[in-house]
Amino acid sequence: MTENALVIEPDLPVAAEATERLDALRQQVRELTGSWLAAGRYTPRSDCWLRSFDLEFSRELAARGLIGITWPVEFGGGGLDARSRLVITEELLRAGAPVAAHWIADRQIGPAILRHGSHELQKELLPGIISAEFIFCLGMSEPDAGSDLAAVRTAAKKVEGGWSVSGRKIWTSVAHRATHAYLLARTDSTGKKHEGLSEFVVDMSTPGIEVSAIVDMSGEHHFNEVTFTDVFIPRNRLLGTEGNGWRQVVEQLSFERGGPERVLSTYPLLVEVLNHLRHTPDDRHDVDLGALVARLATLRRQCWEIANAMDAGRAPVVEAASLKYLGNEFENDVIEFARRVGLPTSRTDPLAEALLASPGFTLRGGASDVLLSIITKSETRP
Amino acid sequence: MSEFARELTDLIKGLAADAEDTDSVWGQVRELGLAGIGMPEDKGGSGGSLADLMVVVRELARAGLSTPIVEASTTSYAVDAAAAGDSFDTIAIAPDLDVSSKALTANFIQVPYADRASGLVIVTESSVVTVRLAAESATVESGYDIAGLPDARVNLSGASVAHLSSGPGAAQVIDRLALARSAALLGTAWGAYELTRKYVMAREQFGAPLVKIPAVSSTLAQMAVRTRFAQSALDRATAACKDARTPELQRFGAVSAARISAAAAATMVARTSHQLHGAVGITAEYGLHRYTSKLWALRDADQSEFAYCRRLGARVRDEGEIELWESISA
Repeated sequence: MTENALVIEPDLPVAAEATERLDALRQQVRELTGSWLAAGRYTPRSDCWLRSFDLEFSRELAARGLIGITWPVEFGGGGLDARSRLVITEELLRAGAPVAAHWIADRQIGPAILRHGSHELQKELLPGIISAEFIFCLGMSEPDAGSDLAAVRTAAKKVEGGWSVSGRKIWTSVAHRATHAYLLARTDSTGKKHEGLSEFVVDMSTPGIEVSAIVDMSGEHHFNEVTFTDVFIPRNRLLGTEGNGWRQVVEQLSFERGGPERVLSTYPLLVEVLNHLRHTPDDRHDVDLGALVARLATLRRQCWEIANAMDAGRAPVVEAASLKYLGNEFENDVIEFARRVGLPTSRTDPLAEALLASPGFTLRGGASDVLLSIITKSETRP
Repeated sequence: MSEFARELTDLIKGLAADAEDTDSVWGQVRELGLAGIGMPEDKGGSGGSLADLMVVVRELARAGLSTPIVEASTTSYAVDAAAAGDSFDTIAIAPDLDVSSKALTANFIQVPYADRASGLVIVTESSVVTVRLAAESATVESGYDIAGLPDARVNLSGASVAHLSSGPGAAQVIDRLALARSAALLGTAWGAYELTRKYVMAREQFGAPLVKIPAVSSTLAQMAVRTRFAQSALDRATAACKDARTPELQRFGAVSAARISAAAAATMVARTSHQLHGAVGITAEYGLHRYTSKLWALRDADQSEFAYCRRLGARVRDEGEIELWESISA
């Protein structure tokens, strides 16, 4: 472990004013989810950030200025810090709200465009994300490149006025509803595999894009295979520098991995269990419950630390990998806890829903085994 | 890390490098004023923050130095004054004990360093009292914990009890003890981890360093991740204890999470550090057992890991989801 890895943080000072602002944001989200819940407009469920798609809900959030909260005011963003976004996302996940429509764009596409996009591209795309008009899917994984992103083969060839893309992307969540895709493609195949990658933004309405559904083991359709056949991308849709895609995407991954959705996917189930234990009442599971709560509290702290690092301008790649590894483990252990307590397991019960979603937790956004290897690499650096 | 914390870390590294016997540095720790960190100078302490004290506790443990710093600093906090000279007090938690009478008769087992402490601070559910161990009404039978460090049986028979009217309350003292214990656990886990990391990177088997075996490297990463996790929990709990305005539930939740996370890391690190070391790790000569046996002793010291889990679970079940969520906010 490096010397810096275990420093005692001087307590992440938050000014009283900032605390008030964070509390107000929390309240705002609670009021919205509370009123929707009371009106029966959604049912809280595990894995909501991937499975609960409701454009209307996303637009309500947008109307309250809760999407793109960290982005510059110039583009319609909130101009606030990563902690503010953490407060919002935590509360949404806690409520099991239908947030899948805007989740990916708000989490990592906006930040990627802000870091690497031209001003023109920022002006064109960010306001659409902020208003939940633009829905993004993530074209990273391929049939032959899952956790090994550098093995990407989808090729972008230079043509008059831009690029022509051909290839296949897979496990592309919400592609069937997306207006835009983020695309990682190979613009040069002559060098090493980490070189010659570039990032693009693609209009999903461009001719040559075909989306085919992949139904998951629970019978739901959220991910897809997307085929690109000679798809034209205008020159100005290149994100950042040609050939610099690997470095750019690695930064993006810390946004993808370092958030509370890697911890709270089964929180609605934990709420079910807690209510059951309270109403029964049943004290036989206090030890297990206490152990889980201790982990949850610390995982939330780590989310907070990562948000702080982002606010300080760092891309906390290893911390995010570590959070995701432990957070996914927690999400699965909540399901096992519900099982030990004895919650019902019919196909439509919360326990079964969470269980059927669970194999994906430790795969999406980087398989746990791969995350461990990232951590080892950093730990054993001489 | 603050500049002061870095200096403290270096100071303790130097202490460890010069120490002939890792169990005899307490005198130097006292002389250097390390035990008084976190206590204001006007109360006989050395100044510095609670976070600085946690650095000292952690670094002493990480360097493999055995001292009663957890007991000494916690009892100073309880009585709201640094111990004078070379003396220090130790501590026992007895939630259900009735200490209302002036003369106390009670038996305590496994009281750390009681054979060399001058006094015993007893913390019950609602009171903090002290007893002089040199008094005739107190007998101390020496013993050793799993790690071979002093712990004793203390028998009080009509011992005269001093109630503390000022100073922090019982709940705060218990939380402060758990906080310091977590820092000691974390430092010990970190020490075991560092030894293991060095070993698997140097030791060659099948023609390459052990760390080239994927199962070994992934186990090593897990040790790092869980140790760092315990550090996050400790940082959060330190902040909660430092700020007097922290609501009791939040402080209790943060401290319990730190104590439980440290104990969970201890179990994992003790087991896997031995596994990765192979047979050399279980010899008396090699230093690993000094760490692992301490991890086993400390994870259930004062009140066991499971007692902490049960109390936290019961509290959460009692309070409900909203309070749970609020109390575990970062």
